Amino acid sequence: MAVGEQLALMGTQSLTRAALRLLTGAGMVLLVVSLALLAKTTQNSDDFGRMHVLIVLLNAVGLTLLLSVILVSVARLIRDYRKGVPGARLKARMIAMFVSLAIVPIMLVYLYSMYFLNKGIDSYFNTDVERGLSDALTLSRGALDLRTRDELDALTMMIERTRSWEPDQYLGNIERLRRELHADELTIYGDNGRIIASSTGDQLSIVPRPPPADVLRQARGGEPRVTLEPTSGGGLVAHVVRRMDDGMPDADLRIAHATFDVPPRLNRLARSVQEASEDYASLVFLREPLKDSFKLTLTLVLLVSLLIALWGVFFFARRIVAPIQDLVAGTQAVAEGNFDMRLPEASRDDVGFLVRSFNDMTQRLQSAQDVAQASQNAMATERANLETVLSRLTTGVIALERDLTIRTVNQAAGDILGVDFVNAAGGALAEVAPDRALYQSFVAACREHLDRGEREWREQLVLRGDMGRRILTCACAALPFENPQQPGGYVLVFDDVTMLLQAQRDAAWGEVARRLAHEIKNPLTPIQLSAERLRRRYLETLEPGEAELLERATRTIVGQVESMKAMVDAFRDYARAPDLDVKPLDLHRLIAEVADLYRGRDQRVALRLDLSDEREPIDADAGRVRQLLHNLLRNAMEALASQPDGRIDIRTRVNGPADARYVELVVDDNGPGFAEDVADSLFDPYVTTKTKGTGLGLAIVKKLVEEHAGQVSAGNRPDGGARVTVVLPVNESSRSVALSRGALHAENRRERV
Amino acid sequence: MHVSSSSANDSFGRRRAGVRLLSCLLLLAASIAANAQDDATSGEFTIQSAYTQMLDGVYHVSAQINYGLTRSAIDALNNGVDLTFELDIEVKRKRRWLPDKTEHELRQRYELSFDALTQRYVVRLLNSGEQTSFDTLSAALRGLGDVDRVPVIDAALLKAERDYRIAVRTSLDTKSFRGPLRLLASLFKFGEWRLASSWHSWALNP
Repeated sequence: MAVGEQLALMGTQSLTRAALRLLTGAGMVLLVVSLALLAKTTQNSDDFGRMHVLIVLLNAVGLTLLLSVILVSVARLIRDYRKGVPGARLKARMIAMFVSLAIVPIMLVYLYSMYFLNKGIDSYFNTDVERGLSDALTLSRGALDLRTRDELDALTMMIERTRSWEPDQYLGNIERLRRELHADELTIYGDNGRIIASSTGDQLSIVPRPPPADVLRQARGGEPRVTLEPTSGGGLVAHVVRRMDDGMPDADLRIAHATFDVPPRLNRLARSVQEASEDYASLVFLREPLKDSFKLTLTLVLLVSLLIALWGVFFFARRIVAPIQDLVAGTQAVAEGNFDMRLPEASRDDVGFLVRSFNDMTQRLQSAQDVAQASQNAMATERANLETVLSRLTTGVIALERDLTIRTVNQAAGDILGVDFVNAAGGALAEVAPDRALYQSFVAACREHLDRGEREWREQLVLRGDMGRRILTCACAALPFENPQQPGGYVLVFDDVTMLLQAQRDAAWGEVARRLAHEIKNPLTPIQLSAERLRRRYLETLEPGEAELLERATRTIVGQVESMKAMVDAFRDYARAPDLDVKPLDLHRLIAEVADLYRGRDQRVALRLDLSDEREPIDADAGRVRQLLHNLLRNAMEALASQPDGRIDIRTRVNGPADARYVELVVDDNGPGFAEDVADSLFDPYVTTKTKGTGLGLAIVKKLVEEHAGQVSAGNRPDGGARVTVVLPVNESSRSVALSRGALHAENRRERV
Repeated sequence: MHVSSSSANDSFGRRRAGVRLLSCLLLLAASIAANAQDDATSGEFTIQSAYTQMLDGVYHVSAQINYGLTRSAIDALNNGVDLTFELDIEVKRKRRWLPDKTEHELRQRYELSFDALTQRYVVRLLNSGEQTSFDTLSAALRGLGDVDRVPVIDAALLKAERDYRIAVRTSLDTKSFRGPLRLLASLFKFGEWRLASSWHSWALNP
């Protein structure tokens, strides 16, 4: 995941966490505030009624917020559980356990409280009290009825007494009649509610208080009516209404209406009973709502407690499990090899101890890993150094396992043995190049010692390869192993001393040649002069027969001395090493010129050229290269002297990398080839299988080639005939590289047949 | 195969549980809605007629209102709970592009109570303290619904070139309830206690 995406994810997670915390905080605050309000308002019934809705709403919002947070937590837990997030199962178990522990007592308290509410509140309402209050109210009403009945009787008597009165009489006597009745007001109504006469004891009142409509309506029907009516001032007034024209069919409708205020004391007592009765009735009526509100309150408190407990369970489970999750993550990281993992410091409890122990452990592991890494690096460095040393060594080194599989091999080993050891590590020694005679003979020579159980040995191996004899000095040592009785492997160190030995031999031959030239040539001239003087002095004096003998003898002596001089000159030439005159040389042109010289000499020999298209001039001494070509061609021509259809093929190729270019010159013939017994000493002086020649041809070729830092090899072709291969560096830089790296040496050893 | 079958069963079980839960919720919601609807239709306040008349330069409103109380309200009344009714009268001026502007508003508050001692229903105009008693609830409600010449606004305050409308509405005031009754009216059985007429309005042409 990209760093940007990780940051975005972390930002989103932080926002989500912050939002959840905000929601939780808001929900908790709302719940606490509402519960505080609830506690306060339950003390006061009015506040309770007024605030309860607000409280319920606050609670609902708070509960919703808290429930949302818990649901999010539950969803996360389920997700983590399904994904197998470390610690999720432990968290789920803890939450399940805590929830069980929290829910059971809360539910018990809740159910008991519900039961108590139902039964307790119901027990407050006693039917006896209700009946008593009702009876008290009835009693009050009866007392008032008794009083109003008396007032009705008094009014009836007054009506009886004044039934025959004219309206004017009422008008004049109404005040007196009211006083006689002890009424507060007395009004006589005529048809259509017309007031015939009225009197009131209230000086401020102008208009008489009308009776309630229903009372007046009933009185009109003839029924005397007494009704108590509450006044706006909290008092009671008795309306006594009676029709006055009863039994007088022709009389006009008249209605008498008297009002009597209930005495204050009676009124107060009756009102007290009434209020108590009404309050109780109100309480009975509101009993169920009251219970419901208490139940609601209790349920809210329960829900608040439950949700806070649930939230607390999640919170503390998260707090407890977090270090364990860290530990699990840390353990996984350590298992994956990441020892940089450090867990945040936890509390000072057992988990904290575990975390500290883990951190100590990872720190130690880290230190150990650092040490191991340092050792590994040192080993790698050492190994690289060793490989560098090995690769720079011109000595071949092969490290073998105990079962003779290759552990390590350097470049020089491949160069010396003419084998490509790339990807050979781990392979069996003998199976690397089964078709290389040189290599196989090397392996066979080594195995002779190893199979005999020799742990350390040294030998000069004379090996026969495809391109002639090779001499290697080889040393073997056993590698140490845990068990000293068994070798941990072997290391073979070998070097090609063929050239060295050849050089030593060449040097010896050069010295021999110089001394021979010096020691032999010196007496030859006196011998020749003496022979000539003998002939000059005695030839004319002797008899013809003797003179002829002398003549023949001295001529033989002079001739042989000349031959010896020529031989000694050849030796001198071989031994002499004048400075090279190196100039750019068109080799192909030179080859063509020399070949032309030989082309016509013997008609039985066909001479074919296959020269490379790359006419790259080489830096070489033209005279010596010409001599080299002469020697090679002469050698081939002499080998084909008895061959009816002789053939000489001269082939050149330019090869090698830019800084190590070389020309490869191959001269093939189809002659009898080299004799097996001289195969190992073809380039030694005086080694020849021909009847003609001095035996210095190939020795001089080799000398000339080596003067140019080149290489020469000779051998028999598989299809018959001899092959001489000359490799010459193209220029000075190639020569330097060839000398320093031995590349030409190596390339030369590779099979080119 | 076993795992997929098990997960399919689980999925099916969860789906079935979900359907069951949804059904329960729907049933609960339907029963609540039905209950609320019954409660709401059992009582109704209706303004049957209303008109304006100008007396001595003052516009008076008279109206006939039918107060239909719910069983809960009647029970509460008979158990000593005083019911308060609010008669709202508003004079609004019509505006072309803007909402109507309330030029004047008046609220008449009436209290209906049952006097257990005298067994009479008392209607009291809380604005003035004037009260009348009735022997039956229906008579009291009729008396309550007989709005007779309530002075609303001085005609001089209205401009002839403008359009006015007068609107009347009446409602039961549950905010004045005390104790758990308020909770009952606000939360548990709010449908039974939410009694109000719609606005009845007509043009008032000065």
